[in-house]
Amino acid sequence: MKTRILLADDHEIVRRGLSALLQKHEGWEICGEATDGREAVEKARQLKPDVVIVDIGMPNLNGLDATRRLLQQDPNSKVIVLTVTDADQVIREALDAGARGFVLKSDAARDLVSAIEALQSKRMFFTPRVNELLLAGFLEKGQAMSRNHPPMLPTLTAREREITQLLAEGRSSKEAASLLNLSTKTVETHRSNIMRKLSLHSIRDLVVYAIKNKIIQIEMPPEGNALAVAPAGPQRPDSPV
Amino acid sequence: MRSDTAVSLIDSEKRPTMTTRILLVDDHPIVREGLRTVLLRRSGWEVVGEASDGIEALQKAESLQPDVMVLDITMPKLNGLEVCRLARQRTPATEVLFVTQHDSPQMMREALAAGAKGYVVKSNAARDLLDAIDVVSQHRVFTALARQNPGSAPEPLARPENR
Repeated sequence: MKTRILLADDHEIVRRGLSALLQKHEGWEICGEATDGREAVEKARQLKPDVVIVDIGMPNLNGLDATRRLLQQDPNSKVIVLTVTDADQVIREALDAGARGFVLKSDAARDLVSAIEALQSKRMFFTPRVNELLLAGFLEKGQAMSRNHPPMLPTLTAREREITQLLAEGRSSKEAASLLNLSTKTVETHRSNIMRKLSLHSIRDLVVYAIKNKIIQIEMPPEGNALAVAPAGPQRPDSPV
Repeated sequence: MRSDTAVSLIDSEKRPTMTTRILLVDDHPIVREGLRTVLLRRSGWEVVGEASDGIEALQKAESLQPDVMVLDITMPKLNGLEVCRLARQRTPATEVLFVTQHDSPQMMREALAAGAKGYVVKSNAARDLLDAIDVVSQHRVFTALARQNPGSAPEPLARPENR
């Protein structure tokens, strides 16, 4: 029986590349593709894949939140997270979210096959660079905790995180409401709660929060100087909430 | 029996099919694989080589003399804009087509100023790549930012388009 794999990445080029790589493997097939986290969760529900490969930086619902949802939907889900960043926090969050595979996109051609094989044998898989970081991370953790780093994410509920992402991507409350099948008023209530909980005063602050906490991805220009944030929707002036 | 029509038919059969020779440059092998998969839909196009950083890109451009170099911007060792400037000097017969995450008019202007003929955003690459290579291989300019698409209009949409 073939191993059925669901691919979730917002770039068709990446999905084509992953598909080409994985279909070479005898006994594996791509049973479906998704272009954002929401679609990934829905397709997993319909198709019941053996393994789900999830890009962290997807719009509408990012990979980490999608991973959480996937595991809520089916605790036996085997999720491999694909990411461009091996930042300490991201790795921890991916694990907390329930992913058991963590692969860097730059190493995907080399590591993804091993990752799928590992998860199919009920083992975990971390790209080798991550193994080193995990070890270093455990050593750092003691120091960080003594410096009193406040936990940033647990203060928001899952729904609040979702809304934070959509707002930080540049959508209005109305657009977010439409996407989430909520009323605009409900979204605006969540929005006020989020701003209050996090002590933020403007959408710009929210964007900064979202970036710092990897709720949205940013693009770095080659020289690494000014940040280039590409909002999904219309530009809005900085306005207090 | 030879007629004018028959002669012109024979002439067009004799004219060699020009293969467009393409060098793929991106630091992610998965992206290169995806680009290759899309490009191979066209017969008459050949991926003659791949490179995973800017230095290798320049070396391969010189040794392979491709018609088109598909180039990422953000790469280790030497970024894409620098590669483009140098390549346009050293191998002027090679046109540069950027395929990049940077959905930015400013970056696009810089890319064109660096000598590129093409600029396409990765999120739409699967759709735009074929047209882009067609145009750029004929030494004409092809640019397509995601924002320019009819889908990403300035007014708020009820259902947002993919970036």
